[in-house]
Amino acid sequence: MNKMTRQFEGYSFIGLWIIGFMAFSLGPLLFSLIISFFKWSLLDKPVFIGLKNYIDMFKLDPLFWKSLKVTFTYAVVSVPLGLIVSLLLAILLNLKLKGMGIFRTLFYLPSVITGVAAAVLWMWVLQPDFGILNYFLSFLGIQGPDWLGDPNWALTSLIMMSVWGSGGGIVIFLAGLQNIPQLLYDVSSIDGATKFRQFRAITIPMITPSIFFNLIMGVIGAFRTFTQGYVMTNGGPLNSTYFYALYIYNKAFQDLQMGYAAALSWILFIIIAVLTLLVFKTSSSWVYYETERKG
Amino acid sequence: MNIFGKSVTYAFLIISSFVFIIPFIWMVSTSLKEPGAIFAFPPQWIPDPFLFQNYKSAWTIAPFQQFLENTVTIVVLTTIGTVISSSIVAFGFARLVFRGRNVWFAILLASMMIPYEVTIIPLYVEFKLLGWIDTLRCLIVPSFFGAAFNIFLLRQYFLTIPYDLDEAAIIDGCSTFQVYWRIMLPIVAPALVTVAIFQVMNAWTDFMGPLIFLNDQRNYTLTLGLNLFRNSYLTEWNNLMAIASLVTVVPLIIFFIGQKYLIGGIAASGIKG
Amino acid sequence: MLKKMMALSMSVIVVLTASACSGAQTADTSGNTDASNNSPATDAPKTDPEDAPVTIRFATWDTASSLETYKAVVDGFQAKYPNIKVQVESVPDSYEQKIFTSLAAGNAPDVFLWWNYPQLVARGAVEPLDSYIQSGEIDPDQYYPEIFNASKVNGVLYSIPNIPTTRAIFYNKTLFDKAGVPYPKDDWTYDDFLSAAQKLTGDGVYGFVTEAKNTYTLQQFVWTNGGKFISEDGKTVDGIMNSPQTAEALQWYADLVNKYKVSPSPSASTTMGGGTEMFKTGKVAMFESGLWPLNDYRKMSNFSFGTAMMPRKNGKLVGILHTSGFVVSKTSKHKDAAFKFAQYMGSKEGQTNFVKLGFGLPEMPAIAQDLKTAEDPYFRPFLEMIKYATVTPSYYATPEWSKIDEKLVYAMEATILGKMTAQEALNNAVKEINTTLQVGK
Repeated sequence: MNKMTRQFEGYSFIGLWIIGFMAFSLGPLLFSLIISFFKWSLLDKPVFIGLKNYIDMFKLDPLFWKSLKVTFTYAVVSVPLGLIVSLLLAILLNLKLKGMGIFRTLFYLPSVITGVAAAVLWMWVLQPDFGILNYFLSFLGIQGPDWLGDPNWALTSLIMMSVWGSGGGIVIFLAGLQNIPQLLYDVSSIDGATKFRQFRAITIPMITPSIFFNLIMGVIGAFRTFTQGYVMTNGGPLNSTYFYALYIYNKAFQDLQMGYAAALSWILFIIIAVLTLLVFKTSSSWVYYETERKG
Repeated sequence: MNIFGKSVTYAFLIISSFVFIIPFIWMVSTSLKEPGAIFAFPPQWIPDPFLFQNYKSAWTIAPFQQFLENTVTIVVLTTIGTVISSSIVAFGFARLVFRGRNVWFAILLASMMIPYEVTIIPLYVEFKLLGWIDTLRCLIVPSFFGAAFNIFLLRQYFLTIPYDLDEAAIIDGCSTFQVYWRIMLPIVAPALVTVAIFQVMNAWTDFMGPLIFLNDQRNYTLTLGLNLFRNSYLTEWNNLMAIASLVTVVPLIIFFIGQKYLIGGIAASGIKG
Repeated sequence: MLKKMMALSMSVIVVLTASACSGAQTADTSGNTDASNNSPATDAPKTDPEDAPVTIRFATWDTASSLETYKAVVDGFQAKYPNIKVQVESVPDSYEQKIFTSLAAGNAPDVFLWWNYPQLVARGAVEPLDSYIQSGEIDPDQYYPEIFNASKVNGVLYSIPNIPTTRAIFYNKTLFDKAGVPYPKDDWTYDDFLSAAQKLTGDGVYGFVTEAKNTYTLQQFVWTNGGKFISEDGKTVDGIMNSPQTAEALQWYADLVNKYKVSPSPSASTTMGGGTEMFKTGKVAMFESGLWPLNDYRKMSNFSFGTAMMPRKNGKLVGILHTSGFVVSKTSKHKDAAFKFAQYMGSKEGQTNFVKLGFGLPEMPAIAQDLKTAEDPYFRPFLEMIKYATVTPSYYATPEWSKIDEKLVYAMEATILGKMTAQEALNNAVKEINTTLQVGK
């Protein structure tokens, strides 16, 4: 086959994605950068205002800082917590015991109903007077707080909810665990390694790629949190759950400040890019890779 | 594992799965209660009487039939779209050699980091120019151009297939496309199912997309319909929970049927970041 | 389901690839056009010739469960204008936001309900209706002047008024009897109100329920106390929003939750469905509202309740009026049909239905006489309250009110949650309002 045909063939297969990428990702991304230098309500003509959106954001806008703080807090707590819980559960679920299929489904169940259904369900669970969470706490003699209504507890409530929904991570971990060759365990058993030692020396290193994957996905997911804030608390009380994505949405579609919202979204993009790069950079020191398969 | 270890494991699993599952029981239980019993304390676990008609009445309060049809349209079309397009692209990345391939693949990986929130405003403008706002097209068409994550997943899967197969097929006179379609697709079928399951669940639960692109109630999806009830002045918990239960059922069944593929598919693709 | 779906998608793959194998290698675009053709197309209304059947869209903020009510009225309209088909849309969540974005996208409903006209007019989104007054199609004299004038911005008419309502107290007679509290009288005072609320609170029942984020409701307490939120010209809040009178009123309202504990916390009341639902389920003995839930309560058997005027402070009382109306979108492609519909909805015929259903008060004397609303004991306090609605709501002062209100809502919430005193919260709000108005300008 000659070179030209090869090129043509290759691009005719991946061309579909390249077109889509230009039309639905790269194009909008660049367009977003452009409109971030404008004042634009969608209803009238855009007016160029240079860096004003960015300057206002940093200098004049307390909600920008508040929503950043809320989102960072949420990410820093919920992502590691979700990782630990889902890894522990995945290890248990990977044991060759009867009925594991049922348990897997039970733990995965919450992550199946993400979004609005989960949000309304949790509003009801967290209801201070009639919700079941405070009902169970009352058995322990604890007067549960007004979860979503108390600015000191609302974000904690949403973090609890995110841990509850971390079943998606369990699936990735299970897949990773099943990829570990049984041989490694068999050999180390012969060498007299204890279960705990096997866990530290085999399971953890072999599962680091999955941890890495879940970490990146978790961080990105946390920074994009929207539905909980929109449906359950509308950012309140007292803006204590005012997620960054919710702020972008409100600025764009409630206040119709498209330029300002685009500027906000670019800051989000930069934050995510920097965090992802950081994770990637540090990954070589803790993520263990088998020799790459070569095609 | 000894009996003791087993029983501790089971006990732990049972207790923690109870924690995970109890909100669901609470949801279903609430959905069957009469309005007066919703605010009973201590909570009534077993509804008395069982009001199955809550489901019927909740379903008819809003045109949920229509919402279901819209949701199914989106789910089916985007699943078809993403399975076809992602597998075509993934094949290109995995099995064909051409200049620029690695650069494009790096861009593909990087594109996974672009949050929806960043592109949604320009997308809104773009769809507005195309006259697509308030149509299901906004949610369906992009899926026909491949999704980065799915392409990545399928590429990993394609890579595991021995090259001899392609060569043999080409000697037999197959075109590259036929290799993709006749030889490769059947082999990666389990991974296609994985991709399909992910897509069904994503499309089924998507909220932000419909929220932004759809206005007219005729075009609402189930998640938007569910949101209709959540009005600060009127919170009909039994109806709300009835709809929430119904919305949950479909992904649940799909997961139950497809969990083998989900875990198997991811394992085989060797997600390593 | 899954199997079916997989089978379906597989069969599509077969169809697509069959054609692809037979020549063209790029099956790429065929998938795309297929999708756009198959997706339920929006039939963009074409410009029709006169009298040809047209379809117009009408949006309301009422929940989908109220669509039946609208249907009755719309049927009346369609009997009169068989060529104009009306499609009613319910947008109960983020109504204003949805309307704005649909306006921006150029596919706004032809007719929609609205209340904050200055905001809409400033964005050039609605059709002025003065020409219809000149042509005689609207007769201003039919309406109560206070209500008709509320549809105007700077003297120009922008909407056909819809059922207005004042706010008054709903009270549960059974709970009052049980607690031995006398029913409210027309001239009852803040002290009477508070002592009643305290006696009624207990056993899972609250005396009253406050709304943590509703500054519109709060206005009547502020006005009654001699305070205000914003200057008439809409330019000043300093010294007005944080005046001692305004702060005192907010503090009193918040104290109902924090100090007197006669009202549930904001989130508790939200999850119990707010005042409307709590009243229905007997969780609250009194609550303050427009006329909207009246019909629901009337339909309930064994439910004994009454309505009363708002209490007075030092003999003073200022009430509040909710007005709204049907506006015609500037982007409507069928403005005439849209106007006809708006006019019908706001006409005696259309409005009589809404009043009968208890959606609000009559907007014209003719309906009040026909339906003898003044004789209805439930309506009477609401009608009485019209006389006390003597102050213009804050949003008329400036099209930027919604942005100012955001900060005010925060202050209100902070006070009700007991995080700050009313004075502190309002001082902060005033400070922030001045900066916020510059952001993104």
